[in-house]
Parts: sequence; structure tokens; C-alpha cells
Amino acid sequence: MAERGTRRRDETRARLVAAAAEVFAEQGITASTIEQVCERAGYSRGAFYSNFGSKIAICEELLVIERGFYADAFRRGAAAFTRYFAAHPELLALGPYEILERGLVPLLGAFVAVEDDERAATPTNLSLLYTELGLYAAREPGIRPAYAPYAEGMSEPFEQLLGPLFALAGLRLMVSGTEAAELITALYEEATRDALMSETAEGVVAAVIPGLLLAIRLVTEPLPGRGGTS
Amino acid sequence: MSESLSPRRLRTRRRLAQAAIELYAEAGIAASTVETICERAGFSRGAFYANFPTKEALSAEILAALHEALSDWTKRALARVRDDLTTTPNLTTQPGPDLLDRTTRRVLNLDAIDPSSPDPWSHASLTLIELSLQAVRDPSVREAYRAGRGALLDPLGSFLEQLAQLLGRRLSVSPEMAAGALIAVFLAASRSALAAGDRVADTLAPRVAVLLGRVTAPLA
Repeated sequence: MAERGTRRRDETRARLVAAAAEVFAEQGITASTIEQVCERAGYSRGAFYSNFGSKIAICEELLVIERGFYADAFRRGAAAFTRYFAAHPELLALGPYEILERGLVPLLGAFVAVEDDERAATPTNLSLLYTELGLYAAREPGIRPAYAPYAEGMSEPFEQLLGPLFALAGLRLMVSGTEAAELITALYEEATRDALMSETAEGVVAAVIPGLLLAIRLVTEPLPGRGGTS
Repeated sequence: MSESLSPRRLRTRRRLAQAAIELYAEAGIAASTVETICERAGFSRGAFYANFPTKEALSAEILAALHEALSDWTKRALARVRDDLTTTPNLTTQPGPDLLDRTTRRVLNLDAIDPSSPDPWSHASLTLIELSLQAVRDPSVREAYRAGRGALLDPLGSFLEQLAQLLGRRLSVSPEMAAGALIAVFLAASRSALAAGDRVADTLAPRVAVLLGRVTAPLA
């Protein structure tokens, strides 16, 4: 019985967090109210406050969930990349940047694909929410202790992904892993926002690849003997 | 379009934009109203609506104000680097990471930062991020955003070209690409700095030095 109560409580929390993620992505965290989150989730304010003490508290939970989501997404992306070239080994004869151009499509596709139907993980929502969490931390010092491990959890798996990815393509890093990750992430975020604005027919994934490739070219060089087209 | 406006009217528009830059950075666009913008600028709502039909219409003016500030800044930044190179001869004979670090310090004026004063970069970066999010959410403001954001690439691209030249280097990608990369790095570094309670310039400096090293190459 106690267990059933716990499960219902977990469901309530999960629905409130999912509603918060949507509302925050749509209009920003600073402008969102607890009432709007409750309305979206279909709960009373009482249900909110018995689960979360404040907007900061629900953001703390959101940061933990997002961090987990990204860790999984990076794993899915890396696996999709490896699987793709295992199925098409002939493509590895291409030049390093052509290899990446091909491989980034399944990688990014797997990154945003979620089986969990509870969560409306569209690229638009993900990109907006990610940026909004950063803006919230810039404005609200109370969330910073929870934001720091989240930010670290975003960059760490990405840095780890770069090594094997570039080795497979035949590239070496010309800057440190951290520096490369920072530069690539920065250009990726801009390319994503750009793509979300242009409503391209080929979709967001295809639209961000040129920006991503530019970032990769800036931080890498072909390994000796893997020249290809640079 | 703006050529036909009187100087007084242009000043009013610019002051409204300046007030909005502060407010958008502090609270976000959604939480800022025409009323709070007018209050901050010291104008009536009538003055606002005589110039802009909506809050959204103000965004193009904000981007124009940021463009002007950026153009002025690039001139000052180049002058600082030029001064440094003339007062300390032989700097460019030893190109490498040290020269790029030193140049970045001059560009961002790191040695003149007063830690007790407000962060000079936070308003511009947070407002630019806010405007980009607004353009993602609201198709009606996209064209103005893309035009205004695209215009920032001109002064920044020519700044990077001249900077490379001063250092005895050349751009290895197009000026637009280099400028676009610099804006992306600026926005990402600002957000991580401010989200950690750090100063933008401190987080930005090493990342700009890395970028400068990669978007430029030795002349020979």
C-alpha cells in the first residue's frame, strides 16, 4: 500500500516535471508561473507544493533528468555512428570530413530520438529548454549549485565521444578535448537555433550539419595518410 | 527607412532599445512589458507606440543598437592591439599561443576590468540569446532577427581580418564564417560564465584565443 502511494507520488512528480519542461521551453523559466505548470499537468497548486517547494526545486529535478537524458543521448548517438559504419564499411575509404558528414546524420538522428512517449522531445523543445536553463542560472543564483553538475554532465560525455569518433574518421584534434568540445558545442547551438528558424524542408538534423562540420574542421586535421579532402 | 526620422526621434528609439536591452537581459523578453520598458527609459507609453507598433517591433532597433555598439567596440579593440604591438616591438616575430593569449587580453581589455563594476558583457549577450529564442518561437520576428543578426557579421568579420593582419596572419576561413564562429563562442561562453556566477570576459578569453588560433594561419 505504501508502495502504491509512492508510485502515484512518483507519477505526479514526473508529470509536473514534464509539464514544467514544456511550459519553460515555450515561454522561458522567469516568465513561467507555478499556476501555468499545474494547469498544464492537470494538478492543483497543492499537489505542486507537496512535491516541490518552489520553482527552483522543480528546476533542480529537471536538471538531473536532463543530465540523464543527455548522457543516454550521447550513448545512443555514438552507438548509431558505430553501427552505421559497421553496416557500410566501404564508406570508411572516404575522406575524413566526408565520413563525418555521412555519420553525423544517424548520430544526430539517434540523439534526438526518444522512445519515452511521456516526453515531448522535439529538437525545438530541447534546444529552447537547454538555453532557458542556462538563462535561469544566469539570473537566479539559487539554482547555480544544481546547474554546475548539469553543465559538467553535458560536456563530459561529449568530450568522451569526440576521441573515438574522430579516430574512426581519421582525424586528430589540434586543440585539447575540452577546447574542442566547447567550440563544437557553441557552433552546434547556434546552428540549431538557425535551423529551427529556417523551417528547412530537409529538417533540423540536415540543417545543422554544415555548422557542425565547420566546427569540426576548425579543431581537427586529417591524420597522416588519411588526407582525403580537407 | 530610418533616414527619414528626426534626430530626436532616433534618440527616443535608441533609448527605448537601450532600456529593453537591460530589461531583456535581467528578466527575459516574456517578463518585460512595454510598460516596464517605458518606465526604464523614462518615456510614456505614447512615445513608445508612436515609434513601435508592438514590443516585437522593437527587436530590430535593439539589434541596430547592438550593431553600433559592436562596431565601436571593434575599433577600440583594434586600437588596443595596435598600441600593444607598437609599444612592445618584436611581438609578432614570435607568433604562437602566447601572442594569441596576449592579443585576446588586449581585445577583451582584461587588464582594465574593475571587478566591482557590473559585467560589461552580460546585457549584450543575454539579450542576444533572448532575441534568438524569440525568433525560434515567433515566426513573425524571424526576418528582422536574421537581418539584424546577419548585419553583426560585417563589423566582426572585418575586425577579425584586420586583427589577423596585425598579427602577421591571415583568415583561414571566410570573414563571415570566422565572425559567425566568434558570435557562437561569445554566446556559449557568456551563458556558461553567467550561469556559474563568473565574469564573461574571464571565461571568454581562453576560448577566443583558441578560436583565433584556428580561424587564422601564418601568412607564409
